[in-house]
Amino acid sequence: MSRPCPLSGHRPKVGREKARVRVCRGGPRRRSGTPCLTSAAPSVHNRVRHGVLDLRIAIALLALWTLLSLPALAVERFPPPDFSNHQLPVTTVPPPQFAANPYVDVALLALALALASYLAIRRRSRRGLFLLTIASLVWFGFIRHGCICPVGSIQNVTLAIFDRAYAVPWAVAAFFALPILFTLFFGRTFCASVCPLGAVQELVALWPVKVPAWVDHSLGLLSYVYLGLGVLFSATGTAFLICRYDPFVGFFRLAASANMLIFGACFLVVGAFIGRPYCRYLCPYGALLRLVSRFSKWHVKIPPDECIRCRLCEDVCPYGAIREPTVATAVTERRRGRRRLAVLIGLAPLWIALGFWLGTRLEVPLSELHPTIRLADRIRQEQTGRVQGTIDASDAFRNTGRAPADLYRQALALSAMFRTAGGWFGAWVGLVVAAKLIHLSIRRQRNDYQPDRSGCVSCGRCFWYCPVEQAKQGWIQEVPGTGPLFGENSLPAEQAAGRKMDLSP
Amino acid sequence: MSHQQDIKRIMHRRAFVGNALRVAGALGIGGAVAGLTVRKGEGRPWVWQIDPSKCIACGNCATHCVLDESAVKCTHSFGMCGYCDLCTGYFHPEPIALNSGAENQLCPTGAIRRTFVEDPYFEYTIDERLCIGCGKCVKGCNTFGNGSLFLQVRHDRCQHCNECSIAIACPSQAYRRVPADQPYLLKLREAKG
Amino acid sequence: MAAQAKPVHLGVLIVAVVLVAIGVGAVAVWRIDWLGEHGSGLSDSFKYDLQKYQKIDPALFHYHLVAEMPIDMRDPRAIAIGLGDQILVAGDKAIYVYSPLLPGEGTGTSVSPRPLGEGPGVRAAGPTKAGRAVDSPHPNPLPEGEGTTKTISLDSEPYSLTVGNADHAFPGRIYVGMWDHVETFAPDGSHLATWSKLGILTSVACADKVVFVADAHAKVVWEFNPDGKPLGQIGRRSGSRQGPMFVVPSPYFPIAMGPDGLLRVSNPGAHRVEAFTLDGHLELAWGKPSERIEGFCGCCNPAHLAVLPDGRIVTAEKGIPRVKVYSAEGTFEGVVAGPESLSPNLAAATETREDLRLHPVSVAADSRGRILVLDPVARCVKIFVENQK
Ligand code: SF4
Ligand code: SF4
Ligand code: SF4
Ligand code: SF4
Repeated sequence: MSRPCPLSGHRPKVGREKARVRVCRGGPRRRSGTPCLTSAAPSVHNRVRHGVLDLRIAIALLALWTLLSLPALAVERFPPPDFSNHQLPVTTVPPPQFAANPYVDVALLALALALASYLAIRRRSRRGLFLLTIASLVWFGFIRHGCICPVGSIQNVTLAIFDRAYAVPWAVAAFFALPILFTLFFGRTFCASVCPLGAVQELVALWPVKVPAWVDHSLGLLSYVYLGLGVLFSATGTAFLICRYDPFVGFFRLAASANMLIFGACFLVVGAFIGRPYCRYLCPYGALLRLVSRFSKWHVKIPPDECIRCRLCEDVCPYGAIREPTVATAVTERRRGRRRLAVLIGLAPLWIALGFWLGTRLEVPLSELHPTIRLADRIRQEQTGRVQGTIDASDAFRNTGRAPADLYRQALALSAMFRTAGGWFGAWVGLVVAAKLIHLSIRRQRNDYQPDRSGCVSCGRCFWYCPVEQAKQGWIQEVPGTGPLFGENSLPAEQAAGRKMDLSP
Repeated sequence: MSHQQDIKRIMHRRAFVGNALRVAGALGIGGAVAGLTVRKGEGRPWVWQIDPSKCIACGNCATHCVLDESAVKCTHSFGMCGYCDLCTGYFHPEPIALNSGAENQLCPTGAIRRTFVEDPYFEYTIDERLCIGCGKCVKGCNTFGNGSLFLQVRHDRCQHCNECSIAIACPSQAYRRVPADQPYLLKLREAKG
Repeated sequence: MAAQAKPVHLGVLIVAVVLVAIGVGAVAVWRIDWLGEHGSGLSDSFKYDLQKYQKIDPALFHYHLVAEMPIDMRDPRAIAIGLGDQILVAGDKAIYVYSPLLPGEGTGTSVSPRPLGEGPGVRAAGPTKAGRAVDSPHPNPLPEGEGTTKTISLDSEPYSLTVGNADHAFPGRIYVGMWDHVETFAPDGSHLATWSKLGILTSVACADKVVFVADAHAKVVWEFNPDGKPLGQIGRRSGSRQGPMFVVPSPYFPIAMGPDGLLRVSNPGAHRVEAFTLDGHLELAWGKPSERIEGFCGCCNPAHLAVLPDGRIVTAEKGIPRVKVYSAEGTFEGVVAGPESLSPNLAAATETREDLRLHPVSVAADSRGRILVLDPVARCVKIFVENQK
């Protein structure tokens, strides 16, 4: 009955459960003089201090534990009756139905990315991008049910890194890597018209308003925090947070809990006024792509040739991604700026250290999401009489006949892991804040109207506003003379608006 | 003029370095991700399944699936069944009579069919169109009987969510990922498909 | 852009709409019950509830728990009373032989262990540390730290156990039902014989000159002489009757020998206890299916049987774990133990152990009428004595 431990060959004598924990204890080492677990502290949250824990070992051991809990194959089976004349029916086991063959799936993704890049950079065709957006929405959204998507694949890749037992399916890995690779060369063309989440929001961005810069900048940080959380929880094998709070997948599946649908609908309402709120303020994959896009080889341009600084495109970006030319600053100003930059750079390690420290304080709230820690807390509370009655989870635990001390030990190890992970998460947030501050205080020289490489999703909405483009397309006779026009000549703009109407209202 | 050339040269060098870095980055990302997939076999797809030895038939499976009608249904390992006349997965704890009268049936949707095989055996089969995966019969069968009824994610219905919604709500942590080519955790090996 | 061109109140409206949407969205997210903390939300008609039957009228309890004896085994499966009220517990590929309880009321102070002599094939198990899975207010009748256990090793997992009593041809001989055969041991623990393979053995019982073995696969009770020579069987399909005589849907098919010379056989699928003469004639049968206390619950019960020295029958049920006493003729007398005093795991709604096996309690009765209940989940023997009238 008892199987040998695959690591040590040790065969548990009394109870498999105990042996498992014996294995798990390899992770954290308790400092001497700390109270014993079995004499348990009043709460699991009164956690015994552990030495620094190798996250990976702990997770690997956790995976091992899951592996060990496979149901034992009982050789001694009670047979069904010997019927005189009756065949036992066969239990039907319909094989998994995937919405698409993974080869087709990945090929289509690559094709869509290539097409989007071509349309955005070579063809500069808003109409083409728009049609592709709809096609992607239909295929990646409604047909494939938006799952699995590159956004969620972050977690699969993270889990594969940290959990030895989990191999990320190659199609999922491709979904993760392809858009990043394309972004490295062409900017966020994935966001423009391949991502189904982006597509929904693109379609509902009806009356976009300008979000004040400070709001935009600070909310923009959220997506990096969310990315950090997503990675933290998938690395610890706790949850796939990003999938859990995907606002639109319910629409794609045409099935979701009422609250999830309300949540998604609210995003759409907000999205009518604030362009792509999920992409800009939450999407963790967007956060990655923003970083990568900064270094892209090519990127959409607003004017096809020379910018004439007509300012016609200034406010047309629904996502607030157009940057105006810089004005020359005084030398003193520049010097002050440089000094401030130096200070900020000097402060960065402090931000990171502070983040790390604060992050380790987050151990309790973060770990509360882990089912094992929740269970251990509950059992502890029930044992100490702080709560009355049992819940399904505690009943299920008792049913296994496992000793609570084992559970506590496991929970403590996990909780130590969360402290370390929380620290790294905090350091990441500190880094993000520091980078943002540094980034804001770097002055770049711009001579024309340009899309901000990280914020721009390559949607192409601004193309038609540019009179240079209009002249190139032959919609107007000639480009007004170079130099600022201050918008007095409203003819091109009206024409542009007229052209625009038939696609994006 | 020479200044112009200088600038040009610098730009050239910059472009070259940039390209080199980009290609290196692309290769790095591609390689790392490919490495992750091939590290453990061929990176096969996974699907979610219930470990029947952990499930306590709490009922969450019926309501927490993202589908309106849960992908989880009752499954019967016929080789384990006792073919009892008084099936505690089929009958109320105190049935009035051992027949298929609605008042005697445990299943709230009448999804179990009872057919006479031969004295004293009866066979029970699940009508998947009616079953909602509430697990009531599973509890009845497990409490007294052989536990041949148990819940499984039916993969013709499952959407293969990246994170199964029921797995989050499962009080016994009975859900886990299984390779898509062995998508069921049946209680009896012989019944494996 | 648009907002600037439009009148101011439109801007305010937009901000208001956005804020309301954010608020509603936040509430919606907050209300999502990811963790299933509010349960399944199914109505009561989807719940399986045995509460009503698990509550037992206190007046029906004729016995009370006096002591608990921890068994240091991972998976104890069977209990038997040996010569001189020795206690034998089988499990974990071994038989542990415990010294008898003291005659007193069975409280911890009045019970003291007496070591058994060493014999061939018997090895001292060393001091048994009480590896208790339950916190019990009841005293352990065998004081900790004193090595009182002798162990007989087995090759595979035992399922049932009986010991020849003083009237048996070989008093003290130990018969162990393995999964598919019987092993016999001398009283000193030395191995005697391995009998030939049968079906799935769930119970053994001995009369004066014969040994009965219940076979849940063949659904018959085999009769052997003490050396393993087959003599006959009870429960063959006879004549026009199609089905088997014993309806045995699971490996719980207990038998027990009574002092009246009748073999008690549980017919679990029929929820009956049947009494046979030694030559296989059905003498009487009683019992009816019911979740209520006087009946046998579930689809196949009783799962274990024992006979008290005065001939009354002790039955143990699985599903709703309960131990009850019936008169030899089948009149319900009273309850020994119910879900409250047996391990709660047994009363749990669903099987969640890895080997997918139910763990019903097994019972034995010693010569003083004490009832010993082996609780395999709590890994202890619970000792019940009859209330003073
Ligand atoms: S392509 Fe133009 S309109 Fe679209 S996001 Fe980029 S800058 Fe904004
Ligand atoms: S949620 Fe878990 S315990 Fe509840 S019925 Fe589903 S698998 Fe079983
Ligand atoms: S009782 Fe519930 S799980 Fe069982 S067959 Fe009926 S609907 Fe399905
Ligand atoms: S993976 Fe999704 S569709 Fe499948 S059972 Fe879980 S929640 Fe339902």
